Formats: sequence, structure tokens, C-alpha cells
Amino acid sequence: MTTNPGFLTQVRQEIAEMEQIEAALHREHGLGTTSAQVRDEFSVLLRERTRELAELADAGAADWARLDQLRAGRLAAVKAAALGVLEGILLRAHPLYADVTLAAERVLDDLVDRTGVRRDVLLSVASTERFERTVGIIRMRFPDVTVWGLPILAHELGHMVASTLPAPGQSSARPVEEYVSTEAEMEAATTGADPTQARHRLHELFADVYATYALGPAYPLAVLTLRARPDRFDDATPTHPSWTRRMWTMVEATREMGLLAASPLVAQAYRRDANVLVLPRWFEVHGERQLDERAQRTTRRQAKALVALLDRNAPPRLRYDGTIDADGLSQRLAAGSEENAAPGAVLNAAWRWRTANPQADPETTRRVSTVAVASLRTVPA
Amino acid sequence: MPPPPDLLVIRLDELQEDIEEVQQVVAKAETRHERLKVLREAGASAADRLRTARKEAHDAALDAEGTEFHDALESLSVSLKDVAAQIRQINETVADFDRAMIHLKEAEDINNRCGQILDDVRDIRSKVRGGELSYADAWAAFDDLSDTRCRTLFSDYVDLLGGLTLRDTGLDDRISELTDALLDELGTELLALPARPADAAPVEGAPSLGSLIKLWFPEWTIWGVPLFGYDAGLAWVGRGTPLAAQLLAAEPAGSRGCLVADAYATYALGPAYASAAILLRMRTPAAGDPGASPAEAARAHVILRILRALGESGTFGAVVGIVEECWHEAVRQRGGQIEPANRDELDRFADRAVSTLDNVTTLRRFDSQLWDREARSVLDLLRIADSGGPPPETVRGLLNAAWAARLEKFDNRAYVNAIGTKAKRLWTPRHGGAGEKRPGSSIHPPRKPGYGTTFLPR
Repeated sequence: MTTNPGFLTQVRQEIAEMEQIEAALHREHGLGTTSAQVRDEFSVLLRERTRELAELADAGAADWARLDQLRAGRLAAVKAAALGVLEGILLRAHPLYADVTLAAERVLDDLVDRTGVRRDVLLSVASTERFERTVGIIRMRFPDVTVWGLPILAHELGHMVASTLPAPGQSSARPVEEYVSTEAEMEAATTGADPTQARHRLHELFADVYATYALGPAYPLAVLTLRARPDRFDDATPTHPSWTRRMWTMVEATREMGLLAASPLVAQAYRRDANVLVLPRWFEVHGERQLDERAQRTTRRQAKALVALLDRNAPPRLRYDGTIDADGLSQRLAAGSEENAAPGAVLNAAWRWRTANPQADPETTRRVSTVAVASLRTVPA
Repeated sequence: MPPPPDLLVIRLDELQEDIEEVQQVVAKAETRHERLKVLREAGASAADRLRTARKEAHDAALDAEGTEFHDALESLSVSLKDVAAQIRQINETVADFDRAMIHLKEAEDINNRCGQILDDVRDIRSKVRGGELSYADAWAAFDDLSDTRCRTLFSDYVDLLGGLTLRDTGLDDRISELTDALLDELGTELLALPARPADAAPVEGAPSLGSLIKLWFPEWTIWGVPLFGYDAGLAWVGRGTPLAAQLLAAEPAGSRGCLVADAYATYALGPAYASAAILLRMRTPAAGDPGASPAEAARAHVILRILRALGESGTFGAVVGIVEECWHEAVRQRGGQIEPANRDELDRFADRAVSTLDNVTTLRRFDSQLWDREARSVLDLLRIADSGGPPPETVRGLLNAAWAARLEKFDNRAYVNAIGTKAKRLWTPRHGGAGEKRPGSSIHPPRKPGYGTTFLPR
């Protein structure tokens, strides 16, 4: 037993906090549609941290350095995640956020179900959309209460899918991770890029392709309109490819979906999504500049490979149904009719409306969003 | 020596006899309903009597004493049941005939035309006798009568009777009935009649069949049925409503109602019309080809533009996209111009057509929403081999679904044939006795040549 009561007190305080978090999460009934599996994973994580703290307390010496390490590297992330979850719970109960939170949950539940990964995600808020790996939290952007940002959640979910999607018949295989690693190494070898950065960027591209594959044009239209920065279209960061590269990857992915389609009608629908809906909008803000030949080849190759990964490893129903009449749905939403339709169909209809009506006044845009959100929170009978 | 027979008189007598023959046969054609009625009543009466006989045989068997007598009555009861089934089958066949038969208001029209020709024959004869007309002029008048008006009348008469026979016997594969139902949905009182191919029929004087649209042999397939939207469009133009007049006035010069009819058909039938008109009929404009028809490029442009206004997304948009790509590729292959020279004018017309037709209260736009409602589930049924299913809500939904299914495997002829057969099987007439429900009318204005007569004004 350590003789330093100050050290022991601080360790015990950390243990008490871990237990408190676990109790709070288990008591909380506002976790929405989150499955018991996610709660259990959180519990396991908390107990693991408690065990590490208990070992430290039992070590016999006041190892302050180790305590600092644990706090910074292990405990802070758990606490942040717990805080995020609790924030999400509080927001879910708040009248202003309840609708959009329920809508977001329905979008994510639908995507998780169609992806077949058998893992739900926790939903919370942050200053911008992001995915936190610790316990699988997707953060919505605060204070957005409209439908417009919801497609971007699919991108965040894509990060989780990349690390959990198995290969058919091989539950432990992670084909997306394998592809990303191999491709990043190859890119590093051929272009001299930093392999870690290349891996991060490929992860982002996969998340973009996943969102496009599962949600259709709603995703590229949403990121292009709400997130892409015209002054930084061609700039990559250590973690993210340039917007130009990302947009072309989404366009090429949609075209590739057309090439994979068995029916010419379905193929035509995807081609039109890419060439008639998304590309003109991109050219509008970016100008009709093409990628250079080499980048074009790489983009096509990677988009093709990423779509193939989803095509081979995810259930066919993950693929966005391009033959749905999004125009009709869009007109009905604009007319104020709440629609009992699949989440992907509602998001596409809403974004088609917004793309077709760029000059709509804020009040009308808000009204369409409200109808779309209300449609999303309606769980089909 | 008696004077030689007057050849002109012989010819005039012969012509008069022919015309009277036409009148008689057309009148007889209408009696087929009476004959069918007798048959129908006889069938119903036989079924009633058999029911009574079966009941009596059954009661007698219950009361019968002696096994042999009882067995004989049982055996009689079984035989009567078989006969009842046969009579039921006969009655169903009679009901099918009845449904396919139409009542001819055209008989009146043909009678009138016959009457006018007979008046002219008598006029020539009396004027020659009275010396008011020289023999030379009388022969010229006879030639005119014989070579133009009579020839057209006889052709129509043959078409009419042949077509009626084909309809009545169901040899047209019930395509006429399907076309009737489509025309009914489009709010016209036109009826379809199988006829000879366009090239073999007289081109001049085409509007002779009044409210009957000729369904050219061998195009008695489901794929050509949407083309009759064009005839419905011409009929709408002919009604001379202010909206139709407005749209005609907006049509680019030289179009002669053609673009209005196309616009009407496209608006009312959606991608099925574009598929049939562009993929089956239109001649692609070619570079330096004197036979090329720039008008067809204009028509294709207007049709496609209207469809884009009706919907861009989903299967609706996909079908339109495939038709457009197919047409453009064919134009490219022939070295023609995809963009018509007067594109802006055509765009203005197409946009005007949509807004004008939106105001026609009797017409409903077949847009992507309606496609989803009326064609989507039918397309799903058509895709599944050997599946039955509920009858399609509308003929236009069925035609759109069939065309969409065809475009999925357009190069597989066996598949296309199977889709056509299945689509026809899915369709069932909603009412018995099409003729009774929708008698043909002769009140329509003279028709311009349409898809059923000559496709294009050249």
C-alpha cells in the first residue's frame, strides 16, 4: 500500500468518476435507439480504466508520472466521450433539438442496418461533424437543427464502417483497412507522400465514397454546398485530401456505380446523378476545370476500388436506389407534405429541391427543411 | 341496227351498283351485334335450363328407389355438369367477342359519302342525257369520281370491314382494345381499327374513317400503342379550344400541328411516347441526305425537352436519358446535327406547351410522380418471370412500365417479346362491351394524317 495519501486520494477520485460515469450511463434512458451492445462496450471500457487505476493504487509507490499518463492518454478520452453522450442525451430532450436528433438517429440507424455492420453509434454534438473512435460517437454540428447537414453524418459513419466492415465469410477481416494501408503505401512509394498522411486521406475518401454510395447525390451536394471552401478547393491538409480530389472521387464513384449496375435503367440513373446533378453544381462553384491526367487516373482507380469494396462486402441494399423519383418527393416536401419514405430518399429529395432552388428565401428553405426533418423522424409503419 | 351500248352509262351503272353494295355491307356489319345478342341470349337461356335440369336430376336421385336408377341419375347429373361448364365457356367467349366489338357511328359517315357519290353519278347521267354535259366532260367527271373519291371510299370500306373482322375475332391480339382504353384515358372518343400497312394504303384523303384510327399491320404490338397519343393530340387540336389555338399559334412555322400533337402525347403519356416515337419511328437526320428530315430532329428535341420538364429523377429520368442517348448516338452515326437550328424557338415552344397543357383540365401530366404511382409496381411485376399480379391501374402506366422493362434488355429479342406478351396479359379491360361504353363518334373534325395513317407530314 502506498504511503502517500494525496496520491491515493487522487487515484480513488478518478476511480469514483469512472464508476459515476458508468452509473450515469446505465441510469440514463435517453440513449435513444442506441443498442445494449454500445452501452456494454462503454461499460467494458470504463471497467478497463478502473482496473488500470486500481493497479496503480495497489502498486505501492506514488507513480505520479504514470497517473499523468493515464489521465492524458486513457481517461480524458473516456470522459470526453461520456460527456459527449450525456450532451447528446440532453439535447435529445431539448425541444429545439429533439426533432433533428431523432431524424439524425433514424438516418444513422438506417445506414447501419443497410451496411450490415451490426453496430449502432452514439450521437452527440460538437462544433463540427466528426467521428470519435473511443466508443463510436458521431457528433452532429451544433447548433444546426436543419436537414441540410444530415447527409454529412453518413461520411462520419463511413469512418466507423471502414474499421468494422468484414469480408463475406471472414468476420475478422477488414478489407477497407487492408486496401487503405496497401494503397497508402503504394502512393507513398510512387509520389513520395507521407504514408500516414496518405492513409488518413484515403480514409476520408472512403468515407466520402461510402456516403455517396449509401445516400446518393444528397451527400456530394451537401458537402459541396455547406462545407467545401472555394478559396481552398485545391489545398490538401495532413488529414484531408483537397476538395477538388474529394469531389471528383464522389463523381467518379457515382459513375462507377452506374457501370456496376446490371440494369441500363439503374446505370442511367446513376450516370445522370453524376453528370446532370452533381457535376454541373461543382462546375458552377469551381469552374469547369478537370484534374490533371495523372490525378484523374488515380481518382478513377481509387473510386472504382472503393466502390468495389462496398459492392463486394456490404449488402446490396446499402447502395442508394437511384430509380426513386426524388423529384416527385421533392415537390411534395416543398408543398408541405410529410412523407413516409426511406431516409435516403428524403435527404435526396430535400437536396434536389435546394439545388433546383438556389435563390429560395431563407424562410422557404427553413420550411422545406422542417418538413423533411418531420418526415425523417416518422418511423415507417 | 340498235345503237351500240353506251359505255359511259355501263360504267356509271357499275359504279352505282358498287356504291350501293358498300352501303348494304356496312349496314350488315352493324347487324353483327344483333346476331351476337341472339347468341348471348341463347347461351344464357341454355345455362338457366341446365341449372334447372341438374337440380331436378339431383332431387330425383335422392328420391330414387333402386340402385340402378339412382346410379343412372347420378351419371346424368355429372354429364349435365360437364355440359354446363362447356356452355359457360361458350358464354365467356361470346362475352369476349362482345367486348371487342364496337358500334360504328362510321356507318353513318360512309353512308353519307356513298349518298354524295350516288348523287354525283345521277347528276352526270342526267346532264349527259339533257345535253348539259358533253361526253368528253362527262368521262372526265366519271374518271375523277372513280379514281379519287370512289377509290378512297372502297379502300376505307375494305379497311373498315377487315379491321372490324380482325377486332371482332380477336386476331389483332386485343391491341385495338388496349389502344381504345388508352384513347379513353386520354379523353378522346377515338377508336382503333386494324388496317393495311401505311405504304399500301392510299395516302390522300386519309381522314375518311372519322373517329377510327388505323392501327397499321403488322404493328399490332404493345410497343406501338403509345404512338396513338399523337392522334389524340391531333384530335385535341381539331377541337379548336382556345388553349389549343393558343398553342398552335406558338408553334414554329411549318409544323402544321405536328409539334402540338407531339407535345400533347408526350405530356399525357410520358417516356412511353418518347420511346415509341423516337426509337421506333423517327428517321435520324443525316448530313447531306436529301431525305433527312430536320423536322424530326425538331420533334425529338421538343419531346425530350418536355419530358425533362416533367421529371429528371428516378426511372422516369433514366428512361428519358436512355432514349436521348440512343437518339443522339444515331444522329452522330449518320453525321447529322443533334441540335436543331432553331433550338431556342423550339425550347420556347416546349416550355409554352407544358404551361398550356397544365391548364387543360381534362388532361393529367404523366410526370415522374405519376410514373412512380402507375408504372413502378407494374415494372416490378414485369421483371419477375411468370408472375401474375393485380391489373395495372392505367394503360399508360402499363405502357411506360413495358417500355422501361424493354430498355433494360433491349438487345435480347426473346426477353422483349416475353415482356410484350406479359404486359398484354396483365391488362384486363375494365368494362364489358367497349362499343357500348364508348361508341365511335363521327362528330370529330377532319383529321390530319397521324401515326395511324401517315406518321409525318413530309
